[in-house]
Amino acid sequence: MTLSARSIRALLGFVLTLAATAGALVAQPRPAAPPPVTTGEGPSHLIYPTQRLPLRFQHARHLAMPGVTCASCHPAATTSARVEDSLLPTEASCAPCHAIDRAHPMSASTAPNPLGGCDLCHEGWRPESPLRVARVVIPTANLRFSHARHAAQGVACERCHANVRGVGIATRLELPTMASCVTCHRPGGAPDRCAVCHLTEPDGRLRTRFGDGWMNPPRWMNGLHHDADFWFTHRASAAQDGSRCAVCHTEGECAACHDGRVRDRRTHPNDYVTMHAVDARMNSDRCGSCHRASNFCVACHQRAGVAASSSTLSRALGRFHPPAAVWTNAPVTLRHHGAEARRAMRTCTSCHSEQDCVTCHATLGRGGGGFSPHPPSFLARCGALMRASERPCALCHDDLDAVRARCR
Amino acid sequence: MAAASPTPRSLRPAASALALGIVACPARSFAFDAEVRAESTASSWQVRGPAGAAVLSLRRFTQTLSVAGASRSDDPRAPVVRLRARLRIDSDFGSACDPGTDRCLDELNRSRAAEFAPLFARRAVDLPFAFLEVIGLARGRVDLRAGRQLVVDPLGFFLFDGGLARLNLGAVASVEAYGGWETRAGFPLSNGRYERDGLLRADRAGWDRSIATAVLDRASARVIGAALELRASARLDARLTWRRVWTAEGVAEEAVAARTELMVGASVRAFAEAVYMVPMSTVTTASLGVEGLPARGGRWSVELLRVRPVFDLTSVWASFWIDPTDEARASVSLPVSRAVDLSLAAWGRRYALDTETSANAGTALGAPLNAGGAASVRVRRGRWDATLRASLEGGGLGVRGNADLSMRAWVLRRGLRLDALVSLAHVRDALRDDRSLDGLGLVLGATVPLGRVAQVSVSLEDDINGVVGHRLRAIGVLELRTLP
Repeated sequence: MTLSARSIRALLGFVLTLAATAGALVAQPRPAAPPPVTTGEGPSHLIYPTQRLPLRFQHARHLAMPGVTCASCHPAATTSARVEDSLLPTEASCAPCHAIDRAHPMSASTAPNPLGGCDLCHEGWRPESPLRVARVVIPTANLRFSHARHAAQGVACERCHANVRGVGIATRLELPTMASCVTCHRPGGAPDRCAVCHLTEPDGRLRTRFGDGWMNPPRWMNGLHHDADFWFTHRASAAQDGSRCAVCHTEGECAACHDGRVRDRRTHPNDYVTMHAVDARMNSDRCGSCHRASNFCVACHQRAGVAASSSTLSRALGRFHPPAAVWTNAPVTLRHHGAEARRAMRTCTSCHSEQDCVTCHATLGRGGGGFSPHPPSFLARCGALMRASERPCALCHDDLDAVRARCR
Repeated sequence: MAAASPTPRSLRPAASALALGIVACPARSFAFDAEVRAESTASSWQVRGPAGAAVLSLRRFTQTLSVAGASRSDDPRAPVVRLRARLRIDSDFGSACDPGTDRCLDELNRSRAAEFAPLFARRAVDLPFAFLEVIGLARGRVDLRAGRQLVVDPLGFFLFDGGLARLNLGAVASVEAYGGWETRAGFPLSNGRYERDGLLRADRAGWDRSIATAVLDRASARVIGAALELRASARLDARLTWRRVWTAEGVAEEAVAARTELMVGASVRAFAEAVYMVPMSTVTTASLGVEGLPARGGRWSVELLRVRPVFDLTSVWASFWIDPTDEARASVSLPVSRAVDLSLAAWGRRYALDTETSANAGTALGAPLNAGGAASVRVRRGRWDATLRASLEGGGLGVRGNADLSMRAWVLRRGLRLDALVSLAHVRDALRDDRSLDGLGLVLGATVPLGRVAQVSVSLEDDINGVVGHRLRAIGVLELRTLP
């Protein structure tokens, strides 16, 4: 590679700018780590944001008492229709058993339970600041949920809050995970559309971004989990049923890459226009997942002077293929166009029309050279192909009746 | 809808079914939310031919306008009505000039046949999709969709104008049927982006018959398709699909495909896929894979794949000698820490040119092999992330290697995002050694969000290699989002 002094100066300037930018970025104070995204194990921090629970409580002890049920302390749990509702017991719920003498918060009450001091429940309460307790923070879950609807269906509390009978303070860990929800919300059972529980954008897609984190399908869900390699492996999931992708993504997101007019650098990071020919020869099928040769490739090749049908002005830049002695004439080697066509014919169609092939491969009667392009076993299946369409046969063969007879 | 020339009368069944579906939706507590997005992209870049001379100096202005909406109801069993539409306009400017003579091509002038580029259009307006659907009719048993729509399944992308109905048969199965007209090149609002390879088509109205004879006149194609999906207790998911596309010249495509996913235990997933092209009596795609999801995180997979390219059955390419390519691929994805992900992949590719003894040449050509590997490391912190990727593939077809380091950082309290990319490339073309090259690419970009409704991005790219010297590219993007 030979570069002029001007090019080297431009390059140097570019690199210095890049280095200065990188230096400025590195000099930034180190920010806090982003909130974790769901990994499928345990409740997601995006769905159930981190809580602060400076409380003391023994669910196990209370639920072991005769007559005490969940509704004893959480009476609104059977009527709440919105996830925003606070179901945390208020002081009034506790007072019947734990009466509090506010004038003497450290003293034992006269109620049946002798332990009625503030620090019985409020962790960190100190007598020198008797009116100050640590704040409880339970952010609203990023879900749609109706306790009332579940209660009306006879769903027991512990069906969703499974471990609550054995814990002290109930935390995020006692909230249901998606894996437990789908035991009922499945095809043929309770409504199973994702948007029944998940929040949605105005266009109906699931809302996937919460703060700095992105919601990600759980690992157990049919290979839909988007890990670092998903960019290159998502075909396997999308090919099963594209409607699964449409729950979170619009068709426009597919089109932005698969039919983009601006090259995506995650897929083609380098000077891909210059390099793409070798990549296409190695694996043209992979190119086909985004680009149709007869649509996307040909138009550019025609205009850039690469295609056989390009203008004479741009084609004057030189021959694209190896010399005719290797490329066209016998003997057939791996560098012969016949071998290349058998191996990667999609690359042929990115420049050539079928007429270019017919010129030589048509029968002598059609004015061609009579070089058969068919594989040896073709005769056994040409009948089915001919029944599908006789058009390609007619391009090369002058006596279609004879062809029909042979392919019957 | 009129793009692929279906007559209004022939669209009536699909439209009637959808209208019936909408009418059948319960009217109570019905609300409809919608979002409009617009994206304007201006780009300028240079393309140089394989010989290195400056051929094209291009500018393109692309605009997309998308509307997406959905009904909203407090009843989780209520049907959902969804609308999706996207309009796109590509406006091309710039010129293709010969640096030696300063003479520029007149690509649109059909009277200058030597310069005419038949598939080039200065301005192209198309409708990538536009459909209305009702999901969950008849207590969740029926879904209906009408309009220009995309089907993505084991047979690949398919875009058509018409109707699709899905019948959900409880927990174990669903049946899907669709029909209409394939969205093809040469019609208004249509660019044939997902048409199968083989034939070049355009609207030849007003063209002299002797000009660009390789480009055929537009021709509409009908399509019918069906699919059966089976599920078994979230362990087994299988899809069997069939599609037939035909024109006045015959069947352009008829294929059957099956794909199955099976969860084995809690951490292993197996999948298999096959596509059979009926008139060719040939399996064109076959794959088998296993994926592991260890409890401690990460993922590994092994996949075997055989692919044989397919073409429009009404073109000569479909009856040519085509050999398959076999590929074996293994990959590992490891979350090193909460901030660092590592991915490794290796593959081998075999071009099976020895599958049939050559009747023409009289000699077997052997089977060229290629092998390669790739590695990537991604580091994510609160306000920046960086990814280093490298891959190398080599063998009988030459060598292709590249490495790139991309960085993204939010600065000024997330008021500005900076992007940078440095990439290195090495290419050795076994067929044309004179075009082997080493390259360096540099990119700088910035994105400024303007509230929740707009975003502006700009990027500059310089690609440098021994074949073309410097090649510059500049891109500006304006995205707008509104809630009417």
